[in-house]
Amino acid sequence: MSDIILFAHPTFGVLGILASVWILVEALNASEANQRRIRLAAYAVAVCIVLAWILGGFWYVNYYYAEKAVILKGPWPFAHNLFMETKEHLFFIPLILALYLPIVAARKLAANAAARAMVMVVASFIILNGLAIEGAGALINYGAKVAFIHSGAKGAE
Amino acid sequence: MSTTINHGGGIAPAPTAMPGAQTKIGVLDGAAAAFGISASVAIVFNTLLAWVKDAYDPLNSFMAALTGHHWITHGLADIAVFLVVGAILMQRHVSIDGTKLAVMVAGAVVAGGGGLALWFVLV
Repeated sequence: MSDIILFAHPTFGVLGILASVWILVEALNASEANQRRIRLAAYAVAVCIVLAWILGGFWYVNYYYAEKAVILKGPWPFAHNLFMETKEHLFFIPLILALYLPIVAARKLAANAAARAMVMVVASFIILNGLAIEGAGALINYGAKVAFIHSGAKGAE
Repeated sequence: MSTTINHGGGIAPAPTAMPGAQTKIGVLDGAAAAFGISASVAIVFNTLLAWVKDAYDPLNSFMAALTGHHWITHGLADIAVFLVVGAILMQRHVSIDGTKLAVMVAGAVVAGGGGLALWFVLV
């Protein structure tokens, strides 16, 4: 069960990034015709990022302590000390932006240049933060892997 | 000269701005303005709280005691700041220039994210 949660967390993160790319493209081409899609994409971003938060948070609070102990004893302790510590707090930035996105996307973007610009800025930062967080997640995973290899645990290689 | 593609598929010249002129994109009001400002506030608050709780163990322990884990309390506090500040600003009918709000959000994200990374590099 913990593995399903662990894999669902970055999956929803990636889906949130993809939905942010979607709304960015829709906002670049904002018109009366795609206003409904813009709102739909904004809600998709919010739902995906909130699910990534809940699933990742559940795994972090209930299961991560064991992996953390392994990483800290391994050759890459910075995978936790730098990357996990930064990631667990950095995640709140795209979360807040994702919650804001449906609010500003509720405006008619084709007629409101300020709202359109805000949607594009917010979506761009969700994408950039999301990619950084996905990369940090991969590095943390590798930190655990090299720790297991270093320990000589059977099957770790 | 930069160009844009018009609806007919042809290429039309983009409007040119005077050198040094600031591009005005209009004003945002209502929830879009209030919660845009509150998002910036919550993002900066997030980084400040991360610094303080990491440097001051009693706060970390207090936050852990509230919900069972300091990280859960941290996330809920961020959301609470976002919602409460946004609701207060909405009641005050704030409005803000779109460019200023975009710069404010961008500044908060860059300073907040950079501040977090820098903190954990240094400590």
